[in-house]
Amino acid sequence: MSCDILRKMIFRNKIKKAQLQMGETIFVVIFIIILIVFGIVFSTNAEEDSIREKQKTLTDLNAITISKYASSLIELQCSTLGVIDKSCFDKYKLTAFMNLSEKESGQIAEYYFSQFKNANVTIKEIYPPTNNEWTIYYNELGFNKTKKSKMTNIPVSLLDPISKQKSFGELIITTFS
Amino acid sequence: MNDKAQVGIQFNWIFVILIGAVLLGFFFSFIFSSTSSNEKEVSATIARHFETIITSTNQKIGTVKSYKIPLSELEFTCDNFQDVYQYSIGGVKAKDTKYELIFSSKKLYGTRIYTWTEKWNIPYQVATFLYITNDKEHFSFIPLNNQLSSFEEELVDNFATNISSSVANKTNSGDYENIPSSTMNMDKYTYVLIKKLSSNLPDPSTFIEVPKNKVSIIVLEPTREDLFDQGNVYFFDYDKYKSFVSSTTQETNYDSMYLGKASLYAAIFAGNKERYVCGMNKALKKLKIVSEIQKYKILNENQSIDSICRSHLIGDESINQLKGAIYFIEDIISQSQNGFSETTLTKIIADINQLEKKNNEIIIEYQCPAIY
Repeated sequence: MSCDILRKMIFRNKIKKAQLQMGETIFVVIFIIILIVFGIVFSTNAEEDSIREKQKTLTDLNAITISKYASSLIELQCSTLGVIDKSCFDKYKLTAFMNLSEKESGQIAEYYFSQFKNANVTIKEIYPPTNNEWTIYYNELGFNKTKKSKMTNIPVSLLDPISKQKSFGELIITTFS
Repeated sequence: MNDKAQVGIQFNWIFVILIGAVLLGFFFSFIFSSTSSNEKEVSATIARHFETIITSTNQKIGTVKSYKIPLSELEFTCDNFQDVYQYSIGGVKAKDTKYELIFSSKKLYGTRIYTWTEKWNIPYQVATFLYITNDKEHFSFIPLNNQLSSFEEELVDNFATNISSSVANKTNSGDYENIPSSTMNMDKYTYVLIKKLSSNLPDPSTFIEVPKNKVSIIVLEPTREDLFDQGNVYFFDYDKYKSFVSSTTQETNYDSMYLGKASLYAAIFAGNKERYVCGMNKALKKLKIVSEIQKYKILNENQSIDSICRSHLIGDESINQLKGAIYFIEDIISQSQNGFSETTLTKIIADINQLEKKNNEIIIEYQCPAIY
């Protein structure tokens, strides 16, 4: 009888020990998993921040690239015997470009989309004060006013090739992202 | 040990192995995804870098720039027939280049690339051509005689500095010195020769000592007094060139034509007829747009100029059917829609000559505003 009880007690102790060991193992595994999850969450957040930072850099770079391209549009710049005057736009060429854009909007939009993408490019005459404004490129497709936009202003000179009069203006480039 | 204890130990091991496998799998997938995202990041960086290079080419014309990039293969595709215009990095498409005027070999593999730009003026400035090469491409200029001719000298002097190039010397025995050798270990060797009516082209064995499959030979045949004005271009590989010089008359139809300095160097950098013609077709699209702007500019100026200037710009039927500048511009517009061919180019050249004459005439004789 006493032998039976002793055997049962030993058996119960073994089960408890095995359960304890199992519990320990499960605890360690859960602990490791929790650590990994924490690690993933942390690294994902850090990655997200760096991606956001990169996106901002790329948006800035995009705005600069478009501005550089817009300010060096040889087809609109002032020229004498084929020699280009940089930072100067010919008023008659600007008007001509707008006429062309109206007449062949599809062709012009397709050609300049590869460079300007989602942006607005406008040239405004500032001094002497006039209401002269030329919209070279306009594409806000899919972007409403509340979306992020970046504006770059570049001072330019404007030339009237007939009167040879120069005026002061600004090239306004708005990029959307 | 009883059965239950044995099952417990076995279960423990199976549990450990399963969890271990899951953890290992997780770490491997993490490493793999991070490696592939790094590769994509490198490609994206190069692509971005390239986009900036291409877009900012208009800024500093004539300058050679060198860029160090991670080891990768750049592939430029310009195919008029399949309507594919793009460049890819490491086999992944990076950007469409339907309107970008890029002239380069099909593939560039390496860590350094060189870019060079030239403006295309015919006669007004139309576009900027971008030439791309790398440190694994060599350009060799082969003179026909012991001394460089004026055309050869002009061609060499105007070629980009920094880009791997050499000028061969012809010895009295007819052989060449200072020619590229296999030890240079380049991926491509481009030989440039200027053909004259009076002299024959040299045999390839006299100036080619590199593997035939890496050779591209460009022969230029100027048709005007000025080398850069206009001329014919022949594109050869080794065998085609060999059979051409072996023929007694050395006569064959030229492959294409060049018009202006930018176009001449475009042929050299493209190194192949298809890529050159494809690039020039894109240039004609830009010529059309620029010419249309010129046309509208003249029409807008019409109201602000006197009748003499108007008759020279717009034309006047009453004065001996005087053709105005706009007539030639309109013809350039219509010709540029026909694609880059000999007929198109011949007509455009005729219009350009007339336009140049007209521009000088109206500025000097009539004090009218310049056409361009």
